[in-house]
Amino acid sequence: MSGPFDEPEGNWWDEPVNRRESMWLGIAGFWSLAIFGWMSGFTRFGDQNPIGQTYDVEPEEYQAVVGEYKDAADETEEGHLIPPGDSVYIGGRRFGWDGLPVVLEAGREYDIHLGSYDVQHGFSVRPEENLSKQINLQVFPGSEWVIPMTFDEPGRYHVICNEFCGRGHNTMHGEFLVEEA
Amino acid sequence: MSVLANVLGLFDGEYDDDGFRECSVTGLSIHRSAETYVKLFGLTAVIALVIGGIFAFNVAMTRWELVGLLPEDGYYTHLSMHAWNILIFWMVFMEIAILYVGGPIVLGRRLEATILAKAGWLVMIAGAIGVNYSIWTATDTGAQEAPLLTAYVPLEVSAEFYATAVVFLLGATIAALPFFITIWKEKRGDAAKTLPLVAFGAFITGIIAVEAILGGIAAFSYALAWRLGIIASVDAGIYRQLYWIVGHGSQQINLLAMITVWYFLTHVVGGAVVISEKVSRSAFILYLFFINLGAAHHLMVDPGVSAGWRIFNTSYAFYGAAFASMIHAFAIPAGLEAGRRRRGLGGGLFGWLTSAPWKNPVFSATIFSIILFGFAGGITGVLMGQMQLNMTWHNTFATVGHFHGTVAVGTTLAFIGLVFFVIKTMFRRDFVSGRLATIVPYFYAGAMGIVVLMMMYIGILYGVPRRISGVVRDIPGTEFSLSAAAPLMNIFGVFAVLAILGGVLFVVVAVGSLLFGDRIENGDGGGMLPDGGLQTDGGTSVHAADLRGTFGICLIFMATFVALYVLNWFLLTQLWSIGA
Amino acid sequence: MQRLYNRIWLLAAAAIIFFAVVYLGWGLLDILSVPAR
Repeated sequence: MSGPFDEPEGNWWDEPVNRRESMWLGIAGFWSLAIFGWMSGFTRFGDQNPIGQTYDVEPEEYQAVVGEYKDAADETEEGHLIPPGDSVYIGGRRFGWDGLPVVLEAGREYDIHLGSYDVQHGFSVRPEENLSKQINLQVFPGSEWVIPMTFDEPGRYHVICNEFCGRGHNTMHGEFLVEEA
Repeated sequence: MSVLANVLGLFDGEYDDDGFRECSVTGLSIHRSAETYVKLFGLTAVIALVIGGIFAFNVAMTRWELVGLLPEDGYYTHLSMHAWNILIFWMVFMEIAILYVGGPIVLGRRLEATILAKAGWLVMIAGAIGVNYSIWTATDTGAQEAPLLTAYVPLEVSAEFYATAVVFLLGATIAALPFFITIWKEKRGDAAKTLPLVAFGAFITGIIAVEAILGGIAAFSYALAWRLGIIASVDAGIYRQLYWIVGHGSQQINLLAMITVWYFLTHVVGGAVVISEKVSRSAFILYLFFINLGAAHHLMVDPGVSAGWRIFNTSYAFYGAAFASMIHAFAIPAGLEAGRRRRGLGGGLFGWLTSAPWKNPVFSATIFSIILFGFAGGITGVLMGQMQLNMTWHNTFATVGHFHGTVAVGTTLAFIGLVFFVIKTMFRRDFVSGRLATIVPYFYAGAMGIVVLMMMYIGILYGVPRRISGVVRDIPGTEFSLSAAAPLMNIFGVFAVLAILGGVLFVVVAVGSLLFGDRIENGDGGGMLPDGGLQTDGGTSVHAADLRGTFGICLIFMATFVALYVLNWFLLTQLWSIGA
Repeated sequence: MQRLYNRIWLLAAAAIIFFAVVYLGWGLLDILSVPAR
């Protein structure tokens, strides 16, 4: 039996491998390939994938785009935006989410456009009545990321920032108000 | 003996005319040059741990909003101090020491080019002081923000910060050179020679470190060029891709160093053997090629990078490096089982483990490190590295739970064991209190283990963010709060205090032993030697050894892994529809 | 195969090149080929 300080001599390559170690290699190897396959396959058959088209856009330009969208949007009595079409534009900035609050229809697919006007932010959203249903995406200045989303359950979805963006970061909050169609 | 004499005597040793002495515990032939620098880098690492640990208290007591120690203006500075001193300085100084052990000491050689070891240490110290200073003064001018660990552009982080971070990394590169030169000289004589497993592991650790360091220098230089106005603009995505080479790579250095230490310590104090050179070395080679691809874990929910790139890199190439981890997860306990059964110390399924020297803190720290790293840190790392699952983990407090599972429990525990070992075998001091020393790993592992669990639950069940000074009680200006997480936060807070106390206890025992511990005479094993002493008769095959205990433990590990995997994926599919 | 495992500098060089291509090269390619709005 050799120790980890010994210089193994001769042909150590052909030393037989313990039967249980071999079985473990088979189990671990199978599991490794299985989780790779699942992750890859899920991009085809799964409904939750952080995948969407990205565009390069200067922060000022993106802010202007969001501004145009807000002008084109209707508003409810409380001043909440109603998107004019299928696109929802959101601009992360110190210290709030431009474009929110927005009223959406449950069960309808929207293209959610994410970008920042200044520094990196973390787009973190969850429904009010179930805090464990939460997802998080990174938002960059210089990028516009378009991720389709369909909120099936009506309710109030809270958006907070979970990437450090400066002192004041704690106050960033926005909402999706998802209503029955 | 006066304290001063004790301190000055810490770097003494009894060497022969060629500068060697034989270690009565490991049997290794140790040269003064290597030993001196292991002590220097090891001591420096502990000092960094103390600094980072002080800030751990402030950070934990702020996140525990019942205490709410620091205001928002101040918290991020303390968080940055905690992160840099623990994740980078405690770890990297220790890793240079480990390279010097795994290379020259295991090979029975002198440390080559000691001038570079000294220069590297000085440059690292300069960089570390510079980084600490630039973090501490970051918000003085009002126009800047604390960098945190990541200093994400285009946050207003000072040019001095990026520059001193580069200095530190350059210092680490210089300090690593003596190790590489030593290995090169060892191999130069004979191409057919196979390095001992620990030296091979140390070499792989060194190469991973080189990749990580080069990536860090690239990232910080890019940001520095922008801060100095040399380039007009900076791309957030490119910075992140470069940064995480050192951001995650530095932690992969931890992983490799820790695994190398596991093989080393289970052998010396537990009597472990190598059950298959071929299989263990294959695992190290898989690490060499694939482990640093895991930097992509941090970019799973970034715009810009394609799904294909994300999937291939996050999986370390079809999970090649995760497979390697699972190889070591079997091989290390199996080595202990085979070695101890051979010595007649095993009975039944787990007798080889229950009969082990659990009162030796070097042994218990190592075993707890292995178990907790595997179950808490390793599994969660693979889970949150899956591109889709990452959406539910990214930037939540659960992420913090993951890396405290790997680093605070896994690596730090292994390094605690190593420091205790070095105190006995290199500094030749007995523990100032054997009982306290025994307690340290149990106390720390237990308390920090609960902390890690709480962080994960709080992040996953309540979506509480990381990198935020206060969010549970209320979000200012809104009616929304995450106060449902408050009860678990209370448990987190209490156990965080206990875990930090465990860290304090470690430092008290370690420093106390160095200053006040009895000297251990030559030939005395200091209680480190496993029952029956250290014998490996080299060459006799272990393939017929009974490994059913290890196999059982690994099956339990796999069952846990599968269960958590299925649970996480099930929860993901309950979410609304996301993505193209 | 045992001889290949002993060629540690060759393995190191190959691994660094692999990393540079698969992580860095491919990733930068992705980021730099993002279209303008």
